[in-house]
Amino acid sequence: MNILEVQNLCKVYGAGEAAVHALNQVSFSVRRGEFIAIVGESGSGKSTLLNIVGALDDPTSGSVRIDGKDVFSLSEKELTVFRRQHIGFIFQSFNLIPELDVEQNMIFPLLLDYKVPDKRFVEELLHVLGLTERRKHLPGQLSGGQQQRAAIGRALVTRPALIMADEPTGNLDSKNSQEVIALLQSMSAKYQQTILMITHNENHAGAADRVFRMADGVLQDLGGARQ
Amino acid sequence: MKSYLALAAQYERVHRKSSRMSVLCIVFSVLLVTAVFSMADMALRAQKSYFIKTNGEYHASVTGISEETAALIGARLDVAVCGWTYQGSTGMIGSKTVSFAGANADTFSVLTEMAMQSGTYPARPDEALLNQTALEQLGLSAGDTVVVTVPDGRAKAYHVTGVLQDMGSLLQADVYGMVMNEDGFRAIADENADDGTTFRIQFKSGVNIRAALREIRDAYGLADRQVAENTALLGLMGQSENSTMQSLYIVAAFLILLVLTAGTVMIASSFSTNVLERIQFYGLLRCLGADKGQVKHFVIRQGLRQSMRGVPIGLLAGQIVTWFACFLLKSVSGDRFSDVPMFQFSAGGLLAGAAIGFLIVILAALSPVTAVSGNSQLAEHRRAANTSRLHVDTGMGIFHALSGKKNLFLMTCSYAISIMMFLSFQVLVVFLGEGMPALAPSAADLTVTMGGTALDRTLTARISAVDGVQRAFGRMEETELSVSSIRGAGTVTLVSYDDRQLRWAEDELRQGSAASLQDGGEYVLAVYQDGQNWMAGDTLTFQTAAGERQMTIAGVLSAVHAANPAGSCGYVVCSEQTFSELAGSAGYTAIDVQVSEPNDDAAAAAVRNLLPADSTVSDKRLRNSESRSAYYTGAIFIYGFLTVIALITVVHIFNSMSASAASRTRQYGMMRSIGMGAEQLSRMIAAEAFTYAVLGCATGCVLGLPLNRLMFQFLIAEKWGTGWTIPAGPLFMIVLLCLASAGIAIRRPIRRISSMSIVDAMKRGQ
Repeated sequence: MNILEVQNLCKVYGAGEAAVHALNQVSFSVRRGEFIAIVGESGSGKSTLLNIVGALDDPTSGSVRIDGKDVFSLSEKELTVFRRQHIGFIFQSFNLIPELDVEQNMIFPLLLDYKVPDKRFVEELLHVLGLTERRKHLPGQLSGGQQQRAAIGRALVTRPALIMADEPTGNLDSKNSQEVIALLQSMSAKYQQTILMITHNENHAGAADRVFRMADGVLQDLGGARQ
Repeated sequence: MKSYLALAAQYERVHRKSSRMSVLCIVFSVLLVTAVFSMADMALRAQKSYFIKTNGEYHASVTGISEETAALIGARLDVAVCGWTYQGSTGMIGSKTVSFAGANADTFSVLTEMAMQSGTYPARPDEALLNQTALEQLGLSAGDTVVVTVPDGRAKAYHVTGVLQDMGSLLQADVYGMVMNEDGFRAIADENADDGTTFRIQFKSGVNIRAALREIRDAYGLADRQVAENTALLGLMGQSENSTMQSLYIVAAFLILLVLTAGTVMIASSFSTNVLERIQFYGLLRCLGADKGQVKHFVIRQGLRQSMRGVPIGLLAGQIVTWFACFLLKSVSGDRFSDVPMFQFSAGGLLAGAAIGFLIVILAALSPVTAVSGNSQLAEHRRAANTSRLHVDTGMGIFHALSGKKNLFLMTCSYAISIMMFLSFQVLVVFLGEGMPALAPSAADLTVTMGGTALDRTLTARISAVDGVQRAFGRMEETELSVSSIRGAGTVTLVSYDDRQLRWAEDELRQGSAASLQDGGEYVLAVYQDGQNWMAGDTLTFQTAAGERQMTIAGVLSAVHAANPAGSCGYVVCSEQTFSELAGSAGYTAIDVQVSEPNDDAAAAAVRNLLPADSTVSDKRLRNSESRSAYYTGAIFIYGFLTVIALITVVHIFNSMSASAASRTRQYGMMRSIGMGAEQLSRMIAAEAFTYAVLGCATGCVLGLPLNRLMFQFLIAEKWGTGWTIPAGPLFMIVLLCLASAGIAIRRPIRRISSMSIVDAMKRGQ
């Protein structure tokens, strides 16, 4: 069953002769639990695609359906709640909240829903992510790899249908990068999470079930990558 | 670009918005300081000019000295003008008392409060000036001759050479005023002239008057009581030794300090809000090889550039506010400040504003340099926000406010200082209103008395019927009425109030109520008197012709309107019915008249025509108008200060919140990306703003109320005995203004961030 369906997505910046087609008729679908890697040169439209699929930005035309729901038909308020409950984000620069400790950062999306976090699940995540000892540490007191693991925990805590990872290893050294990719891979398998990951690193793309290549706003499905 | 310093201009061009905000903060701080100082300067000038007009422009007066001593004093190098002024002797013109004054022409024009309206100054002993009302009432004009009964009983003819301007004191005492030259006065002076004869001195500018007076006292062996300073004038010149003036100086110094602190805190606070952005830039300069000194030069250049733009605008705005206040003063005070020029500059105000603008900007601008040369300013948080007790949005907002110690301190100080300034200036407004019977609704324009004889009570109805008279009301008074209570025994002067006067008295109550008196019965009102501690609820036993009579004190008034002096226990006020029961039903001791139009001389004349010949009409219109002018002058400037302070507070809060929200735009964007809704974002920003506001208001109240109380004790309680109460109204108003400002201040940043796309918000600051 498809968790994500993208149809004829276009994004144009500017107008007339100065118009830049960041996305050009992009269509694809992703099944539940699939781990997708999107590769491409800088400026090819990868981040724009991720932002639009994650409902952080509006497309010029086209549609995005997540779990059967057309996200751009939702009101701003509905979209916020939908994003909070169905999409998890992992950013290159971690984007943890500096005022909150690791555990608070992880449960933050649940707190925004005024929900009481499932303690067992949080403990499990902390354990799986290797952050149990660091749960009360603030982001400033963690290494880059630890911060990114905390960000992964935050993306997973609401058990979202879809996780968007924008260059999650971009700010990490190779050892930490390997760890993060392995973690994403195992999370995808363990929690049946669908992951859309942008990466520059062809080796990391090798860990994905399928690889898409973006070039000049056009998406090409390169098919299965995992050996 | 010839030098790295040229980067300052480039930086401003790129960061146009934050530069504009910094300039705006400088403008408002300079405006605050310039306006407050200039307005204070203008108020002082206006008061000085008024006191010169009403008291004369002399600095000190000496009594009981010989002509020789006077000549020696006059020969001193530090004396500019001096001369004798003679007063005290009285005579009669017809049935009316005339008060004589004498001085030579120079002394008259410079050193006395009197002024010649028209004509020429008397040159010979048989020439005189007569006041305008006297001339009108006697049907005379300059050039006529008037026959005066001089103190020794002789009738003497005087040639009227000019018109003496009316003075409130003459009209209130219902006497004529006549001015002669020195020889003329000496020719008719009796022993009463000794008390009114003074040698007035005006010192040259720049002279230390206190020291000069000490020298004069020592050199000529004069007693302290022989040398009196012109307190009002010296007070305004900062040279008075009077204890009330000394108190006022301390208060003024404190208020100056408060205003300067407010200006400083506001600029510093505004600069600290965009400090992060600037620190990153200065850090970059250091990375590119700039040494500390170069960064410092760059920062000073930047601060000076902003000051060069902000300070002149602030000075101009402050000046315009001052001119507006002067315009208001002229339009409200009418004649009194007609000679205050509209477009005057205050060097003190402009200098203070410019100094604050430049100095503090540079000091505030340098703080990021220190940060760059020391530890990282990207404040590391030491503890996490509390999200367990509060909703995460509210908790985060409060944490944002509490985590930045410097910003929290400056924002809290801004609110607190505004409240403290407001509460301090509020005492000055109360100070102005105290002891100003002219402001009371019961203030009379004319008061009719007839020596010790009672006035017919039906006269009030006849006077009220006169065209132009608004109302007339009378008071019966009985002096030396014996009274006793558990607090002691003595005498009182009993005063009757009618129902209307009792209603007015409600506003003058220090405790209790006046309502129960209107039905007659067993209730009276006591009047506050220093050392007399009667309280509402006390029982007083009166010794009346019909025996003992017990009455209960329903309330204590702060003041009373009475013609007779107080008894040993002060005054007691009761209803007319109770008065009749206690002291018998006589006529009125005094009838107060209020006219519809204060300048309506016809109404005043018509009232006079109704009265018995031996009655006296005390015309208080000029005095009342002078008192009201004094009040309005003070009120305009003080409320002007308060308005400026309130406006600056509001603008500063707007700026600070806007800058604070702008500096967190990226974080807000990131929070929205992981599911924070617009309402939650608003709650977070609101929680931050209200944390500052509530802490600031609490600090302002904790520091401001004792300050208010201290100033109240200092300026009012010690003088009038009025008890301090929490100024609930003004306090509520300023706290509400602060909270409302915080509420309104967050609307714009919330709208801006909510309307920004999440992707754009997240790109900010990257």
